[in-house]
Amino acid sequence: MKKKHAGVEIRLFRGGWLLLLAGLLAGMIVLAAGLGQMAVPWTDVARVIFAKTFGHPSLFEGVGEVAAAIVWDVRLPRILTSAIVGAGLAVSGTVFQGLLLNPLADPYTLGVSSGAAFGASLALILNIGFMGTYSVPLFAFMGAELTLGFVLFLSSPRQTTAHNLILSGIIVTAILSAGISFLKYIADEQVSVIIFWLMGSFASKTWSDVGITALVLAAGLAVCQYCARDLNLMALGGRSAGALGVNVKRTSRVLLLSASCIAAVCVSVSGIIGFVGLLVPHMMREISGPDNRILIPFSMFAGGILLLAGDTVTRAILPREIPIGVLTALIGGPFFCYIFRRRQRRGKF
Amino acid sequence: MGFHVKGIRFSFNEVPIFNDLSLQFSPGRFYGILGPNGSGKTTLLDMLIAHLRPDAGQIEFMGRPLAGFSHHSLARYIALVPQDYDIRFPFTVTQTVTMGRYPHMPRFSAPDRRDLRSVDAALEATGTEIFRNRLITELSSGERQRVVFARALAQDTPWLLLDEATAHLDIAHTLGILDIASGLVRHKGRTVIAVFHDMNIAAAYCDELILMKNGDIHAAGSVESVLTQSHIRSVFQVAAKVGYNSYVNAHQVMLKRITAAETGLKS
Repeated sequence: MKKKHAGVEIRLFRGGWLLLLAGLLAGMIVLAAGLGQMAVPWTDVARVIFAKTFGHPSLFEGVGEVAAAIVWDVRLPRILTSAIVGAGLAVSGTVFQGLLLNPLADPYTLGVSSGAAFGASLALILNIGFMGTYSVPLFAFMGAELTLGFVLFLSSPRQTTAHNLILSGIIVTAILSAGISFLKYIADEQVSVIIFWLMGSFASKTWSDVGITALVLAAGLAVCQYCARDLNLMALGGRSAGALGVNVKRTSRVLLLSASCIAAVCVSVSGIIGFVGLLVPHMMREISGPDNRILIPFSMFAGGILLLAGDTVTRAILPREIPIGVLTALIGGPFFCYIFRRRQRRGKF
Repeated sequence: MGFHVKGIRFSFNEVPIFNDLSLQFSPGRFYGILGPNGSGKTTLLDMLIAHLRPDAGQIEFMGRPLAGFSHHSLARYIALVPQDYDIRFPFTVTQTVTMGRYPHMPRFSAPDRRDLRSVDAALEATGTEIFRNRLITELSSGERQRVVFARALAQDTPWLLLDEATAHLDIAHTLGILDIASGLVRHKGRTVIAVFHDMNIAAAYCDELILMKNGDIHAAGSVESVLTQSHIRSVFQVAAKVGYNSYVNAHQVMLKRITAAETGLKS
């Protein structure tokens, strides 16, 4: 009787946290949309959002047309993209850490980021424009996927182990970094564009960016959540996971591909944003525990909140916009050092 | 109705492990597998849980080819206690043992009353309920091994495979775990296949022994027919004195290294 009670309490506790995080994210989206060079009160933001989503133009009354356009056409796409990318990187990082049995893994461990960076640099330097503004993201995505394919190929002559995957990722990343350096070297005046892209930014994102990232995140999240229980078992090692009913080979392939697709699409719209995918799963594991069925949704909301907060700070609060990738690394890096030290002292690593 | 291993061949990283291995396991018995390091004991268990597949030959389980079972359905029949049980993430002991119920639980549901009862029973039987809320990463290796055994108990399968499942345990806990396993065989008709290093413990618990050497079966059958002076000498290269011991109520072995004079070799 008593034990059951405790179980229910834990589930309520976790449900409460999840609701809190979701509410926080929704609140921050509304608040952030009001912040910027032209301040818009949050009530007006809420009205614009309701009016646009449910098609009630009457709600517009009293909100200026300019304010409405700024909120809906300029700010919200950027805000939503940053939240979705943050969520995606955090989900992807959680899955990678579970899959590679390595708490230091992140979405970029398998070279997805350097592949995307190489693809984007190539598109920028060759001035490829047949797809308009989508050329760079498209090349970045293709670069990420090709790199992933090559890393998988490299790591599996006989059987794919976490160890082989990580090593292959490191090798391929090193080669691609040299390639990117070379592209920068021959880029002349284009070099600043490449550097800016690599540092990551959510400036001038559109609703189609929101749509694409949301779609990929939703699909990837569904797969990851479906496999979350199997991912728990994989923490016991392949042999035990197999004996507990997991088709380890197939499940790890499926999870690798979904997590990498999420990461690739995030990188291709926003550039390289580090530490979110590494840090968020760590912070959330403290609250939710290591059970991936709970950890994945926790990380998703927290990642969204974190990156949205970071992007809002650089967009609306700092006097001059700092590239978001630089900001996350500057804040996330030292914070990770702190967590790392504390964990080591408690012997939990 | 049990396992029927028919002429399997298997090599790992181009090193041949099994050449033409055949044997059978019948339900309701306690089997012990003995053999020197690298004789293929663990690989044989890996074959039985379908973690590895033979290059040639066939394994039948319950009259059907083992390869036809999905991992998921197999997990309801066979539980494994591995020798490596490094768990990297800080799951609680209860969470870890509950994982043994996953093969019986629908994917998205919480453990029902029966699952919880199995978990509680497994924790209690192994004496691990006193640290049920502690983190698995904070336990000693012996404590962790008992938790992993509890997980296999919670899995509640007709077949239980133990791969040196007591390697990190003190003697009291070793005997405790093996008493549980042998109780399952005697009272519930379960089957246990266990890899041992200690011949005396194996002799005290097993109905049948399988003595392996270089991926082949050197001897198999009742304890007294397998544990003989000449078998032990040719498989382990040690001298042995074997006899029935009334205190243990089983055959027991006294071992001695073969001296240089006996072998004519420099040791």
